[in-house]
Amino acid sequence: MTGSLQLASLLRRYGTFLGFLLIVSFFWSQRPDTFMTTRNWLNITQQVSILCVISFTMTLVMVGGDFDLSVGSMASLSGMIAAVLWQQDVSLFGALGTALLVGAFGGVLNGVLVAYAGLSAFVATLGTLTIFSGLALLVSEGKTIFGRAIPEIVGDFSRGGIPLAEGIQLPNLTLIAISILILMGIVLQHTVFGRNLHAVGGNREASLLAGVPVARLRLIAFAVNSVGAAIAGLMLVSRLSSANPTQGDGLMLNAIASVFVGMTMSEEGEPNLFGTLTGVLILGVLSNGLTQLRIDTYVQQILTGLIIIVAVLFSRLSLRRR
Amino acid sequence: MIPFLHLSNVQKSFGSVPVLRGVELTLFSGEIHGLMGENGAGKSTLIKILSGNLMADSLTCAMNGESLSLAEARGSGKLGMRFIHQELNSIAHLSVAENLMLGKQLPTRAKIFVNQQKLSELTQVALAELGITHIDPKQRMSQLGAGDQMLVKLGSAFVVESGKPAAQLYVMDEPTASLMPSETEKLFEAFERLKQKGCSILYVSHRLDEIFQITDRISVLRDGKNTLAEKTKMLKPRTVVEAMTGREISQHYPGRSGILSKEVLLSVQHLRNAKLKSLNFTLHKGEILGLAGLGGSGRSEVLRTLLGTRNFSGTLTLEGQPWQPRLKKFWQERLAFIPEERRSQGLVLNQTVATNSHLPFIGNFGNFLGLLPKQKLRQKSEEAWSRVRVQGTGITQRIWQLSGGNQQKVLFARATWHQPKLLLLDEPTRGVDVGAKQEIYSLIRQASGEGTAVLMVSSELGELIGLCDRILVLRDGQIYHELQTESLSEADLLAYCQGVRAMESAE
Repeated sequence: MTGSLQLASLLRRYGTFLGFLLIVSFFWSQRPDTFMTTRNWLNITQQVSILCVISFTMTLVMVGGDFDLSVGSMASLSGMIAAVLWQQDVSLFGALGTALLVGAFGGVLNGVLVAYAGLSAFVATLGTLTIFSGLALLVSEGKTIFGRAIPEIVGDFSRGGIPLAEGIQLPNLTLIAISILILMGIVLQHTVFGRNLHAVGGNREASLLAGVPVARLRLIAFAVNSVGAAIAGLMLVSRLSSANPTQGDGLMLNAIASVFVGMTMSEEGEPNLFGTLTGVLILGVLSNGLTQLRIDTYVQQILTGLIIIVAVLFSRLSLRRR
Repeated sequence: MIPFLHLSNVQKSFGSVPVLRGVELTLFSGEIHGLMGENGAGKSTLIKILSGNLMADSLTCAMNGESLSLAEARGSGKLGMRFIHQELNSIAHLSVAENLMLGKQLPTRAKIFVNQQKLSELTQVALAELGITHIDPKQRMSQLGAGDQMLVKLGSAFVVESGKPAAQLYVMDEPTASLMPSETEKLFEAFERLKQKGCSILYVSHRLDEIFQITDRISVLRDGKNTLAEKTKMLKPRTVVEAMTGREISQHYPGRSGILSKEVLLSVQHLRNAKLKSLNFTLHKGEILGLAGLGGSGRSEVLRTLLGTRNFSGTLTLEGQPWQPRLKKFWQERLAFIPEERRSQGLVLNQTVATNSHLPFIGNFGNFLGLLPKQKLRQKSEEAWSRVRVQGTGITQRIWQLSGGNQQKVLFARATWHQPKLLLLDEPTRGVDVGAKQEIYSLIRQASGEGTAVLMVSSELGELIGLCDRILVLRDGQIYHELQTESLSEADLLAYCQGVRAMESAE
């Protein structure tokens, strides 16, 4: 009895991770020469680094019991703003700083609407999604900015990294993702803000009655998340050496999906960074592996959706047995 | 005379806690039967068994002398029942008619489309039973006041459904709670008409005056047993109150050691808001002051005001200084509060015992970067944990795994974390087993012994009398009595709460 219960609880907590390992071993067996190499793995980390940053900060918002639909269009907007400023001969850091400020401002707007004006996170961030998206198109006049307008160093940054061995380097974008992971980990686990945010997400009314500044915490979480989205947008510009007014739009769904998949990996079904990382890696490995197997990106998309549903369904089924 | 419905030896336990211990209920045709008892006496469990929402562990049922199971009685259609539950839960954006017909078969055209005209007619007929003509069936529920909404809900008991047996038994759980006197009269007239038709009505209420006005017989439950079943005209209000409150096992309440301080901690003057009418009282250091009254008397409203979540006018003084309560500062001012609803208002259920006990205080532990000293925090949580004697595996245990009593003790660990000046308690032993109750009483007394002033709301009159130094009796947002607890009986206190004293002297 207790044995099978323990097994069920282990499966629930580590089922998703197990699924991840299964996917990895499948691709390994299919592409033994190219898949399980250091180079390919570093490549995967670079591919997922942008999604990582948004997903990690999204975890923060979701720990607080909210979610944010506007991150994708914020990523597009921040990249676009930086590119337009560079086109106008604004300095490298001036443009980066402005883009991040726009991110912070957008996040504060989300936070005010949700935490202070009491709009549902769905409605508020759906609205700002549309606004940010429109702004990105407006500042760019709908055009892609590329070539000489983007400073060379921006594109070089994503190609650079810390050399590990002959011809192998830890990419700079991966480094950014790792630093955000560590930062968010400390914030969520070891700070007053993070611990209180867990309480707010667990029971808002009880937190309020315990004197926790609920609205302020939620606002800060939204602001951090939006800055995360802005950083992701800039990483995208660096990676592509160009800026397009819709290039970040797909990030939002994948970020929320990663956090959801990750939630299946905690005992209490809470968002958690390790789970989010696993979620991102599942999506990243799937995309990398399927591309190596020359499977259509459209099929990739269908598989991604299925995996999200299966993971969450599985954890719910085993949760119900309790 | 053979009863229409006779239930006997009804047994029901939740886990190891017995709630009904061999209860008997006898209902005759054409009678209004009052069911009374304190909170937790087992009234609502009995009603839920009757409605089929709960299964009894065992019971014997007979209808018109013929023995059968309760499920058969319901299934055969002989026992047509209508239930009106206490809570006002209507769906605001649906129409009056739709609310009234909720869960019932809607009249249709061509078996698909809702027949709006027929729907309105049915609604009007049902409402007319209650003498109501001023409510338009097409109106949205949200446009009605609370009283009218309650009338619509009552009306749903009078809907005639085609193809369904006519109702034989009406079960009404405190239907008059939000009605005006004139509306109550209309309801009682409708009861009379049902009685004439031979229906029985099981009427649950805390209002003694109504019970005596309309019922033919009264049953009283206490601690899951019958303590009274008698014709109303043979009874006096006091007899009923005594049947409700007399205890078989007398709780032991820890007494005060030492003399009560004369130092005033909190003084409240002319406190008024939407629900309170000019309250004046003082609270001394180390004193336990009880707030007694029926639901809706304003008891919890006083606590909410002191917590800073209600607007008010009046003068509050804390330790001689003018004081404006504000929720965000509340815990930082060395004040503490334990809410009425433990699970929804008190605890973060998916978190650990430690997190729940230091929730209001972790802001005080962070360094300039907001980083927490884990070791120190753990040590403080351990201290709090051992102070309240929780039975569990440790402070890292998730709180949902603990029993209600132990969860409540964790809230006490939170509330006594900082040796508060003032502790507000709202139903501190609700849903807590007897053993844990005892320990919570000790914790309250211990806090008061350390100088904490306690302001306590409770529906359990025994614990108010046993623990408190003084009791304020509230009715309709006013303080009607200030009582010393020595030689006060539960029956007396209940009578004060219900205003029976006034009723009896008027007799």
